[in-house]
Amino acid sequence: MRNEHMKKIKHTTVISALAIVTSLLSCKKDKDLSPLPAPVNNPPEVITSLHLTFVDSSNISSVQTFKFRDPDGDGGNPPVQRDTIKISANKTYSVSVSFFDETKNPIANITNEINNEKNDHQLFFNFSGVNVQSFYLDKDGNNLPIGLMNLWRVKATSNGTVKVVLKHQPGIKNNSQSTGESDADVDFQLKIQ
Amino acid sequence: MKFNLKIVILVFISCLAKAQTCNLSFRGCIADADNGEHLSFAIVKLVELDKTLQTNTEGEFEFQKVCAGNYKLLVKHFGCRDTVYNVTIKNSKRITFKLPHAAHNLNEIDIMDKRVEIKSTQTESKLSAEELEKLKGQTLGDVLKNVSGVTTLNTGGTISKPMLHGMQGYRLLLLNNGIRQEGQQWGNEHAPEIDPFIAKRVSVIKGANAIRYGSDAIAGVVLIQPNELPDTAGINGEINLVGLSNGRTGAANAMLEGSFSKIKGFAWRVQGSVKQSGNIKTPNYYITNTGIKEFNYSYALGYHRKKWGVEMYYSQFNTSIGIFRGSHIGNLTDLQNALTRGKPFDSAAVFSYTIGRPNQEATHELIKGLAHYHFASKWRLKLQYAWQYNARKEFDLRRLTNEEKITGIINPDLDLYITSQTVQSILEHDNINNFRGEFGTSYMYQENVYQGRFFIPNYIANSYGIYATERYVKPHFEAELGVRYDVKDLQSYFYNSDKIWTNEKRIFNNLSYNLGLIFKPTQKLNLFVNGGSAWRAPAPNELYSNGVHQGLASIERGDNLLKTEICYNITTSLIYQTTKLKLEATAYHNQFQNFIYLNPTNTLELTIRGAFPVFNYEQANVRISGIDLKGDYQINKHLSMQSKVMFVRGFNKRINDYLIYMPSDRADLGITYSLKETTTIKKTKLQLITQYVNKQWRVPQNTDFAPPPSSYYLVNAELSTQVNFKKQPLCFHFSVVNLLNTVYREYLDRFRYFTDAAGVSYNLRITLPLNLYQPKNKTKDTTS
Repeated sequence: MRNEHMKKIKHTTVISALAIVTSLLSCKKDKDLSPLPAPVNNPPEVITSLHLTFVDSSNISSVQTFKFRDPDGDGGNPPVQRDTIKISANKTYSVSVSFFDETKNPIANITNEINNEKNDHQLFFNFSGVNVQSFYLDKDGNNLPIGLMNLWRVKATSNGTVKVVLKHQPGIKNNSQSTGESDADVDFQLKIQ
Repeated sequence: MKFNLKIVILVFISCLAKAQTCNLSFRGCIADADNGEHLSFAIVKLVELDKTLQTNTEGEFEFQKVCAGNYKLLVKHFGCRDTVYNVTIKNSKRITFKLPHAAHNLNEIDIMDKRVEIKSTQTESKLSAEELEKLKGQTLGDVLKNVSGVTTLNTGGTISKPMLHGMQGYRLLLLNNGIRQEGQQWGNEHAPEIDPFIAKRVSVIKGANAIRYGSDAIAGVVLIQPNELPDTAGINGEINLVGLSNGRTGAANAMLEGSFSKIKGFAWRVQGSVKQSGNIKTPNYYITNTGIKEFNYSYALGYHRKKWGVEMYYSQFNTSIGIFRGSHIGNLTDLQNALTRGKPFDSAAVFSYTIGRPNQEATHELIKGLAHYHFASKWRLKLQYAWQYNARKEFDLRRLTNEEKITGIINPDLDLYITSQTVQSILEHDNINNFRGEFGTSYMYQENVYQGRFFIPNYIANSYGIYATERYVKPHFEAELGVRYDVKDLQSYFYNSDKIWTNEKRIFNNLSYNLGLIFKPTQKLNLFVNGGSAWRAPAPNELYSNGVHQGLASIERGDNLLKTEICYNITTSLIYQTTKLKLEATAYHNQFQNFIYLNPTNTLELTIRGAFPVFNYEQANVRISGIDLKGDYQINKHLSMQSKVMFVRGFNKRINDYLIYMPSDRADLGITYSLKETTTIKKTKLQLITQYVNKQWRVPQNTDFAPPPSSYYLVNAELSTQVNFKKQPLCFHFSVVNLLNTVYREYLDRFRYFTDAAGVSYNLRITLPLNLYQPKNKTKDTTS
């Protein structure tokens, strides 16, 4: 009789020990889900828009800005604005490039962040069908070009395109367009009048 | 003088006698005392000689070169009581041992309740303990690759997802210690979060009809089990040390388990493992940022009495994986640059353990509770509850925001948390008029939450299942019928195209069934035929994903109207086994209705990074069929041959073209030389394995970024041995993988666009079994 009683106590002790150990040793807290709210953390920054600002070096009050805008980012709705660049023949322009994240409110200007990481970024301009020479006006800490500030020598009247490419090249920047990942890659129609 | 001569003669005669009688062969067969069924994979041990064997599929074993005398034979089998037989061997003979079933010996207090294994008519391929031993420290996918029919979908050398008959992810069910593994299976670079060191029993069930595990086991089921908790008093353990030269990988695992003589039936186990590796080296260069860090542990407690038992299990898996930097591309131009370059842009890189971005961090936790009760001599009830939590963070190689730079806290780009709870009840019955079977119900509640970038929605899913299987067993014939019905509801929460937080509910239900037959015309030949149907509900990413798949330069669009995917399957297997030859052949055919796949639309979508190709999730009628062959041949007592061949064919009837990402044809051939055993050095084996992998030329037109890589040929060599220092055994396993340092790329490796696969690696594994404490053994003799 006593033996059986002891046995029962033994059973209960072992089982409750199991239960206690189980509850004590568990574990990472899972995220509180209900009622499944919208995500709290914002998505990371993305580039949605690129602006090219042209200043005529013979007339610095003549400022033109051409834009590519895809405010909801990659995928989703198609880009809402894709300007044709119209500039004058036989002129010299200073051309600055700026980048924005329009998914943020207010719209975030990312140009400064790129400039802060200038050792890891470079812009490239590929012309086709037009006679334009582009020169870098800015340099990074390793004396390599960045491309946020440029000088364009525009020649005769023509129609063509310019591809503006922003490369992210952390630790591997070597003044080559085929290195690293493309953060922006936009084709603009270019009309030299 | 006379006296001396007598002694000499006596010694001579006894030597002679010994020489004659020590060449005896002791053959036997282990059978279930209950129904006479022959028990395969039973452990038989000749205690005095310390020789252990495993019975073959016919339940047979053979000890060779046994001396005449009295022996104790210890027999262990899953679901049976460990039994010691006293055997007198005078001449070579064959004895059948009838092993009592655990459930029928409840009158003895020291016999603990054990799990009843209900085998099924399905084809099941297992990895032996020896095979598992030499795969320690590998990824789970690489371990499973050793089962015929299994290949892997790799993301470099460190991330590998098991693929059975060309199917993976949601189509291949993984059972970790009896619990279905629930994580973010949709990702091709999301390897199962399971510590391979836990896996002591690994088997793969082939065919779409493993209905007791779930309706969605379309390709089959992978079962990963730790050992049973010990049932004899004492403390045992094992230490594993692994070093691989490629990646300068180090891994260690330690396990301790025990049972007390004072509290009968109470058993415990603790286990932990760590692993670190650095950059993997191809024959010509290092692949940057391919390191791995892993830290895992588990523990189990069990308490078993005569008629009932409870068990709990906890495991935690933590990994941090570097993703090869050159594989992270911004757009199609980058991809084209990588393809024309043919090797990584930073191929001059050196070795490093550092894990930088892009990288992944994943944690998986599992708590399991199991209770079972024998309420009648042949009936058992099992209740199982499990809680699983899977957190996954993925970090892209991108510009840090000013805030991240200031705080130093980098937000993951993909941040997903999935919690799953499963409850199962199973009612099993043992042999009643040659029928055995089980009835079960299951319920799963699952929640997924994301932070940061959208890729799959938040969702709540409920799955309900009910099933029944019955198996009719006769010595030369078996038949099985199983039926299952499941309902799944999925409530998803996401931003719609107008940026409004919205939700949508879908309900799926269907029937799955299986009919299986086994014919055993002779002891040597078994023929398995299984047919049935399985289905799966479309996964949340297939329904709702919408956006750029980072690193792949493509836009993926889900379709929220996708229907249930249904698979009709027929699998036949043939097993032929003699003492010298073992042949296993499996042929299968899967006919899919509404197979869900990513279909290229041939349209491009403009983004600020250029034009991206668009892929839509669509459905088609598809067929996947193939053949797995496996053969072992014992040439003589030292030399044996092993071979493995597989073919898979996938065809999409809608586009009248091949299915993408099917494994190419491959064949393995191995030769093993076993050395003579001495008292101190045992199980010494030298093995040379060659593998030929054909080029996958059966690919759909215009859907891949690059043509499939060429065929390749690999050579591996292995040497394993067990050294006994007094009573302490120590196992060594040395191997050279990719011995010829062959440059190759595998079609099913997502890094093949960017880099060669890993080069030569010299691997050393040491296993140290521990016997720390053993009270006086109280085994009872049952037969004489």
